[in-house]
Amino acid sequence: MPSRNCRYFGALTYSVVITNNKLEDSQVTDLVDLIYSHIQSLINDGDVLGNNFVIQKLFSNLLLLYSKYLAAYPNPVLSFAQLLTKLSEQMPTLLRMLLPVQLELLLIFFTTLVEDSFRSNVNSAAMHRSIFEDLIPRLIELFQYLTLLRSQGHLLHDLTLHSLKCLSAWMSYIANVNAEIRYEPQHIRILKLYTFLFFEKNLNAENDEYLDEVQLCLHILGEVFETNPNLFTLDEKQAILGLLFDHASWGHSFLMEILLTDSRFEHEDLVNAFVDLALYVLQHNMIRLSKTILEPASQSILQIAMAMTDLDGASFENDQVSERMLEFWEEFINVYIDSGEVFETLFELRDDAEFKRSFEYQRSQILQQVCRIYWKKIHIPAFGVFTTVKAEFNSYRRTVADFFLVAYSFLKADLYKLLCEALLANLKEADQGNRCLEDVEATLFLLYNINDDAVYFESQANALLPFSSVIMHSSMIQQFRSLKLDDPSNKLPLSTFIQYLSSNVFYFETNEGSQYLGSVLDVIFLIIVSNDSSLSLLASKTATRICEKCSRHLIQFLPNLEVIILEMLKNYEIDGLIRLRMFNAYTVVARTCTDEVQFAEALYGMLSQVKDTAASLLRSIESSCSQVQEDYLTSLLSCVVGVAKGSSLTDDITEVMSEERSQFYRDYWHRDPMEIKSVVLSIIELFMTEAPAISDLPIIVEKCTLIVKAGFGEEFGGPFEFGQNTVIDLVQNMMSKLRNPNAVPHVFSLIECFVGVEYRTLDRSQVELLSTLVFAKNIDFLKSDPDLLKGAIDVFSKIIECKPSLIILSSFFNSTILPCAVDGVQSNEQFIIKSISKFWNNLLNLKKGSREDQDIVQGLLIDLAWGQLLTNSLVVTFLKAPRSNLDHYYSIFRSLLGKYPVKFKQWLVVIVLLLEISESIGMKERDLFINQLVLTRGRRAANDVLKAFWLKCNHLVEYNNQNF
Amino acid sequence: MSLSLCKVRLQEERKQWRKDHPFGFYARPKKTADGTLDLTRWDAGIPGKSNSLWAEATYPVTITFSDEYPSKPPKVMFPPGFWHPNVYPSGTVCLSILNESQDWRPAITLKQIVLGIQELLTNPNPDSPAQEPAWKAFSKDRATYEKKVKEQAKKYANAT
Repeated sequence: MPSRNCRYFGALTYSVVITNNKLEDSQVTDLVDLIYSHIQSLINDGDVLGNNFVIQKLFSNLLLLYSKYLAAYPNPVLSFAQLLTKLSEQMPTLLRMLLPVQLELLLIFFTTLVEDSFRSNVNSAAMHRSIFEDLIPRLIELFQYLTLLRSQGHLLHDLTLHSLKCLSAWMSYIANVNAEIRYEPQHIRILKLYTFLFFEKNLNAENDEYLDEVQLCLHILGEVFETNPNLFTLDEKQAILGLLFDHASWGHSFLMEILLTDSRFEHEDLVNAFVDLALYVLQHNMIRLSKTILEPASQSILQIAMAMTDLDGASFENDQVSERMLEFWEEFINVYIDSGEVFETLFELRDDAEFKRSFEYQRSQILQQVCRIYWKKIHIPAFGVFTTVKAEFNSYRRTVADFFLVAYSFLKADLYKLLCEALLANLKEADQGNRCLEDVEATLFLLYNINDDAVYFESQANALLPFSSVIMHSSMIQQFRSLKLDDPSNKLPLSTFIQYLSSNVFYFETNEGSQYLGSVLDVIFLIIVSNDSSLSLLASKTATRICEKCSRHLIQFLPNLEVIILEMLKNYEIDGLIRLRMFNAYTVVARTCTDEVQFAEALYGMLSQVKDTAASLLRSIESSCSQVQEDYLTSLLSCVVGVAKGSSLTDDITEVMSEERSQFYRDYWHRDPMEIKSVVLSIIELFMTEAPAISDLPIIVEKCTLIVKAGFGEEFGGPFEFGQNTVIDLVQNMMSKLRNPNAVPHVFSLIECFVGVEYRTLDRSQVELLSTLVFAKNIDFLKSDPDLLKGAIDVFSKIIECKPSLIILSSFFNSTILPCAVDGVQSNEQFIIKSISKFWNNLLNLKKGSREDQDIVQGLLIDLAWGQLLTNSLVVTFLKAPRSNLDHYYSIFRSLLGKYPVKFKQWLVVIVLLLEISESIGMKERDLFINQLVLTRGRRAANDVLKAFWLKCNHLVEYNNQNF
Repeated sequence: MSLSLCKVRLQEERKQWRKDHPFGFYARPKKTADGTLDLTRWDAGIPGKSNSLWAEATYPVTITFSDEYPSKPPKVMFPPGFWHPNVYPSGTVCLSILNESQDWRPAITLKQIVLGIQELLTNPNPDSPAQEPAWKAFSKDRATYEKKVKEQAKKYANAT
């Protein structure tokens, strides 16, 4: 006897034959008979279960034949039933003749039929019609018979499960079928009734077989409700609603015996199926429910929904349902938000002030009750549990927070007030020695989420100010201050507290709120200097935010802040990002002083300390430094960046500065009596030229350049505005020592930025100096790496873009930059091509060039032959370029065409006629290309001409062209 | 008045997101001045994959849908200056599924978009650079790249 695998491959061979061949009707009939004989022989083996996978494959083959040859094999189910019984009767008769094992096979056949139809995505109208006309009536006959068996108690559990799996597959098809055949509720009445049978008897929570069966029934009903609820009549929908939510209904028993007991943990899939159906039914009835909240029937349903949400007060980790219920409650609130007019009409129609009052009161009560349930749910679990479910817990409460945002957008101050009252009550209890940290934390968590979401707009922030006032007036700060920072169980409450404070900045900004800044910063700095890195980081973020937003109120704290930041400077353990944030925050506060001397003193205090600390450390390092030292030194430099950024005057400040004050500011920083600028420059000097261990590191170079960049463009000067010649010297000094190709781009970026800001007042001699000292002197080094050369080209591109006269007359430009730019055209790397393309476009178009500049560039291109050289390089490279790079070359061609049409044609003729390209591109075609291109005069059409020529030369076709 | 296709689809996306969203992510429409929701502008957070350089942080993005959504993809932006080879200096994400002329399909969901971006964070596409510094560091100076990514992760570190 062949092995089962062997038989399976035999069945698979039939699949290949059926799929790959066109069969005559007679061949189809023969093949069906042959497959039937195989099935019969497998059944006769007596091991149907063992042969199941082979039988299923043969079933699939029958389906394949059915779907391809409907006329030749019109009703597979009936003929299969006839095969099983060896009778030629109709279905109802045949069904009565089937043995249980044959009935099971028929169910599997039915199931495979519809599952395979789905899987193979059969979508022919004829097939759907045949299913509707030939198969569905047989399916209904089958389930009529099964209903009879079940009513007589003759349907065994295995057969029941097969029947429900079969029904599930068919209902899925019927609910989703998208063809001209439309199923109406009455077409499938018997099928639906079959599922309802399982809910007729009382729920038996101890009977696992029964629970498996109802799980499938719930799943079937749920899927139909979700995808096509119109398949239920109104009565059926009402029956399902009653089944789930009526008092003393099956659903009620389920709630009491499973959902609200520990049994729910043993039957997760069953609970999910119940909740799915309940949610679909609730959502289906959403509008009606929301409009009838005063009716007892609706109140009862909502009470059950609430019970499902609460699960008898189960905590988050013991609750699988409340997160699902959020979906319903959010939608419930959204009905009131989105359909305000509907309710206005409802009230108008009733014309009863009492009704309106009761309705609004009831609605508010329901929503507040739901909020209370979720507030309770987001309480931190016991620490031992929390550590194991931390990620899930955070995710859960984020979803709950989203729900509160929706609830807040409807309930507004009512909800906020409720939360505030709860918070104050809990804080009061805590004052009396009772532990309510979890309650306080949960409330603060919701408050900060609402604050963050709401206070962006001033009108909304103003509405919350009174609440913040009450909260800050409570003992909250003292309570959190008294928490032990090294107790891991306090970490989440502290984190929530910090985030609340951060969200409350809108209040601290006010004169009233500013009175709390001292105690707020006090506790925040205490957390910053704690040993908990994540809390410290979070607290530093909050401190920065507070300092930025409330700087005008914080000037009085500058001496205290100075002590803290200098302590942070010395402390190796402090995270670099925290140190940077604090230096920046301190500077922002100091900058708010109207007294420049005080600001300068603050700057001097910080910068001189950075310098001394760095110098002392660098002196102790001989050849190379450790990672810790490197990180610390980088952090010191980052602090200076933070100071530099914090020192720049924002638009808010400059807009309100009087003429007199701005003049004083300008004069003061021009004089710079405390020599802040020299301290800054000496720090840069220290890191860039006197610290060989680190001066070549890209990160050090980047930070140094960021310090200088921070002073560019300051309208009134300032402590980081060094003057043009100083910057040029600085750049030259940097480049004279730098040999790390990864660090040099930062210097080039600095020069680009410098030119972009200062070009109006820069003169040719300064740029000449820059070119010589930075570029000419280092040309061999720059040429050693295409990226470096690209960086240099970017600088010159910028100069040409801003003020061409600064460079185009320079001999270095003609002798070095132009040859590099011509060579650069041949580069393969996208960023380099982009830069080169930009350079040539800037030079050719000279958007900011004078008449004289135009003449000079024309001279360069025509008299000194750079035009011909560029054209040669451009044409050759363009034709060899990959498709993805073509766009970068088009613009150079178009600039040449637009600016020098006659000359460019001559240059083109020279190179195109000489090109070593395919012999198939003859002279005529080359001429045609040149003429067509010139005709475009550099307009967009040039791209198409160029692309067509490129395709022809490379024997390629356009992707989007349907003719290839 | 009937809702536009864009609004209907966005409402559906919101519903689907509430029903099923990937773990650790968040996405919610922004509010307008009167407190109502603007479904065309969303704030979202993308957690870095665990055991990666991006771990322990959630990176904020804004997602902007045009009126032509879902025919056209939304625009996803990190904060300006975000350090990643496939993020433009403006913060715009360069990803094929967000490009109308590449792999965007109207059936792509919000969930697929944010998961795609999470994948991109850990696995940049060097063939599609959007910013030079991060791309160059990723290609040529891996130590600096990693240092910068870690520095950025600290900036967006998760609260607890």
